[in-house]
Amino acid sequence: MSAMPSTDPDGRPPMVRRGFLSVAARGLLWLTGGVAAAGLVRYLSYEPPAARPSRFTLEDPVAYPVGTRDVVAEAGAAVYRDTAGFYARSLICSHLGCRVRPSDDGGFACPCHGSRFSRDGACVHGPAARDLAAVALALDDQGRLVVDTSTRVDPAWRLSPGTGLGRLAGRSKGSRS
Amino acid sequence: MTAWSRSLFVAALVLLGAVALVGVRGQASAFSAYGSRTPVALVPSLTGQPEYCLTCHGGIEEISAAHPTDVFGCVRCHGGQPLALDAETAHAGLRGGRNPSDFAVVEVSCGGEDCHGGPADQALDHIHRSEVSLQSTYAGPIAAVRQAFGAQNNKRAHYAIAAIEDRQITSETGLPFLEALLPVAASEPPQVRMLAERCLACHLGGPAVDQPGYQRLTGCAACHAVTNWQGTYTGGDETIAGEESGHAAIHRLTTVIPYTQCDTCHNRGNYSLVDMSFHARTDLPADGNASRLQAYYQPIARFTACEYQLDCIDCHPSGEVMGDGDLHSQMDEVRALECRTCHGTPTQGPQTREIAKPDDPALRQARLNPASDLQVGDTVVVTARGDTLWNVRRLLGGTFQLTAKGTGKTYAVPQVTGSGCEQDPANQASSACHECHAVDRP
Amino acid sequence: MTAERPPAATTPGVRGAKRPSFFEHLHPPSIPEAQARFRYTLGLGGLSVFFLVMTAVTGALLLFYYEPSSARANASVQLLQYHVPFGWLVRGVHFWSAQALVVTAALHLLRVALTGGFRSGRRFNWLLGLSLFVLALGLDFTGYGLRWDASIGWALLIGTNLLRLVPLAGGTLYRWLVGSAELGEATVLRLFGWHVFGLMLPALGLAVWHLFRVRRDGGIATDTAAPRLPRRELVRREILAMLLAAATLLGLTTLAGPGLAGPLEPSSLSLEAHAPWFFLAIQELLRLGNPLWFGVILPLAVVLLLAAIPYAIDRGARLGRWFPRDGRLVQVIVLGLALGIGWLTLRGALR
Repeated sequence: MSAMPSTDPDGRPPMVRRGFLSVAARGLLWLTGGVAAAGLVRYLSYEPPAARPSRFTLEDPVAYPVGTRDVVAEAGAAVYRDTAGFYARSLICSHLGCRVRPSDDGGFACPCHGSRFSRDGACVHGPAARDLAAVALALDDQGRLVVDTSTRVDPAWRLSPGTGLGRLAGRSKGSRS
Repeated sequence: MTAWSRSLFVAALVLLGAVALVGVRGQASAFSAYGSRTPVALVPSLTGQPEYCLTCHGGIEEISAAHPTDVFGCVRCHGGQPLALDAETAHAGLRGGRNPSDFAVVEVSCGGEDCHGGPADQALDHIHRSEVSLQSTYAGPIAAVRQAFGAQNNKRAHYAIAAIEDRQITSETGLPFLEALLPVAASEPPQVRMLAERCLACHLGGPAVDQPGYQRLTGCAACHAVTNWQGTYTGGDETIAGEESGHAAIHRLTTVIPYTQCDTCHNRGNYSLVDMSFHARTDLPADGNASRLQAYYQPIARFTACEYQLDCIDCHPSGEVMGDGDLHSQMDEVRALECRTCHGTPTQGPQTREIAKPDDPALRQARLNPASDLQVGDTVVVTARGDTLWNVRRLLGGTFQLTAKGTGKTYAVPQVTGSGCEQDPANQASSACHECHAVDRP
Repeated sequence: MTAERPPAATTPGVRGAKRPSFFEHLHPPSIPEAQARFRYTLGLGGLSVFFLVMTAVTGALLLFYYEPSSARANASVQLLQYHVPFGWLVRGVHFWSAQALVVTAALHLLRVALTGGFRSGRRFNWLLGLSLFVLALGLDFTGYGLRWDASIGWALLIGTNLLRLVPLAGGTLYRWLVGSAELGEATVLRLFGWHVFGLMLPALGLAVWHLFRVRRDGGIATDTAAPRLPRRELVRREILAMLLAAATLLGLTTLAGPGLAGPLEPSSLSLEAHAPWFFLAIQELLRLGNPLWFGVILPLAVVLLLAAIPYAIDRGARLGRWFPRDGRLVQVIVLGLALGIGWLTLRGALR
């Protein structure tokens, strides 16, 4: 049976007195809906384990004399050697992810929106605001250099060719990082 | 109002209950019995595709240092479904059951130009050599029995366990093809018929007798996957029942094959041509715990100390055991190892050759064994057919040293020249040496 | 019971008036109570709509992960089944709501036939509904093949070969479905195209048309026009039915899923040979003789017979009750067909 309330003087129906069951029912439905929405978000967010390799084996350290910058396109990284040791920079523009290319002035230029970077990957100009990422280097068991583009390091980090261990060198002048 | 509210409440409750059921079901999984809460992914660098075998088989051993798991993964060799998480779907398409080296599937699992199905001149033809070897064809005993009972008048083999042909013949005694014996057995002499009925189970392609002591796998794993006396698995994979026979002791391939593995087929007893049956040896304890001297050879054999203290593979190179890639009629056409191979004769030292190039196959074999430090420039012993014994080296000073492949121990190889040996140089078969140099059996 | 709301409560422009929602507007303002009686319709038509919507929604979600190539189809279904969070749920609900759709649509067809709901004015709608049923079977079959695993190999082979038997057009029809001269790599993509678009679009169009015609033809056929049920009450009943049906789908999925075998190799089919459950009757018929007659012409004849019911077989007028006395012929035909197909299906299942 239903209690039909009378209208109030304005002709509006009065505030309907909601029973506990009614509120509870709506609450359960909202809860179910929320759970379903959360499940839907998880469903759509699945990511399979990464298949693209991030480690690339390069040459023996003797192939890189002091002062070289070797741009390795397949690895998406540039490898450098200075007096303190080896280091590497990612070739992925820090703006929106395009591949930067070596430019005429010895640095890098991004073809997408015109960002420019110094020889060492420091951001010089353009919509990019951050330097190119410094990525890790190591030696494999045959003594060759290996660059790992999925591991970030400090820009002042250097790989010592003798020990094969990394360490932080003194910061180079003019670096923006 | 209340009827509707009541109904709505009940319906909402039922739906929420169903959702809760979904949540519970989402947690339960077939693989959680083996300790993993979440699927374990392995992305081998060879394929780049994730494989989830380790979710259940988490404790399994790496198959070998030459086949690292993070390079090969599991599916490259075993087949199966890399993404599935329940046993039935995951094992659909598994090659050879639990043994992908079974000869029915070995070409897909282990073959390929860069792997074990490559050219003979680069010593990459392991599969071909094994498939045509006497251990697979059983051509020797078949030819011998047929000759003994008049079905053929020489020892040249015509029949094998299964029909097989060999397009490339490189040795003098190599055969172009062999036919299967069973289909023609009805027209053979009665003893040959009995051989065909009773004795053709004994080959690398066929399963072992399911009794303690005979336990081995088929195909490549018959030798390279070491089994224990009971044939049980004693490794870390929880999905494998510990009391089940027919398993390798651990999930590992090795080139260091102990004598016990050879003895799963060899030295198990004697054949009687009188009643065409096999008489198993009865001198071994039932639990398999026998000393080396007791277990190595069967009672009628005569042998020296070095023969039972070393492993079979310390003297018999793979060129003899796996064959040379040709179909042969008998063991003597392939085996050239004699005592004089390492010890020499009264008038001549052992035949040797120098490891000249870094890609020498002997060097490749030696590198697989951590006990060996063979280098380019070393001089090693060869058999009369040219098979290299890379573990027997000539030292500076002219003496010879053998490194046991299993234990790594080194032995000085006594040379016959300059000793008191009085054996006729023309009669240097091993049986002649054993006339004087034989160990007493207990 | 329920009473009408005061007019002020629903009049546009009056402050505080409660206006009907979109879902309420999909219904007429009120319907004769007799039309909404559960004992009369068993809610089968409404349930069919619900299951169609559920199938379409879950199907759209599956599109984000399913890969329609013969190399990746089975692997992508494995990905959904084992790795995507609730992928097993989306796939399972898609499967169960599709099978439930076939069941409720068949029962709905039976109910309409046995209550004379195809009579005067509703004849064309009967054809629309019949076409929908055939499309549902086609969608079920093409969807079944999309998992591309060892268990569907024979069913796919036989089903497509039956198509080849159609005189004159057989070869063309086969190529349209299979994509090449025989089952192979092109087939998965074709099945996918038919399933997601080629059959789906006509099904959705016909479904909308079918529902429109229900309203235009005067709603569900009944014999009494009063009293009337306000649409609010109708919508409430539908909401309850949907909640319970959804709970049933979730429960079914949790207890049993569609299963998955290893990838299909068309050149080496497995030993199991059985049709999907909805074609088991045809599989039984095929044991009897010539495949063209028993596999193509006989099922087509059944469909044509059903289509002819409102036009050639039954011209009666009585509406709104089960087993009207002037509709015995149709009842015998339809029940006979239902029992025959049911018995054949059972026999096929028990082999």
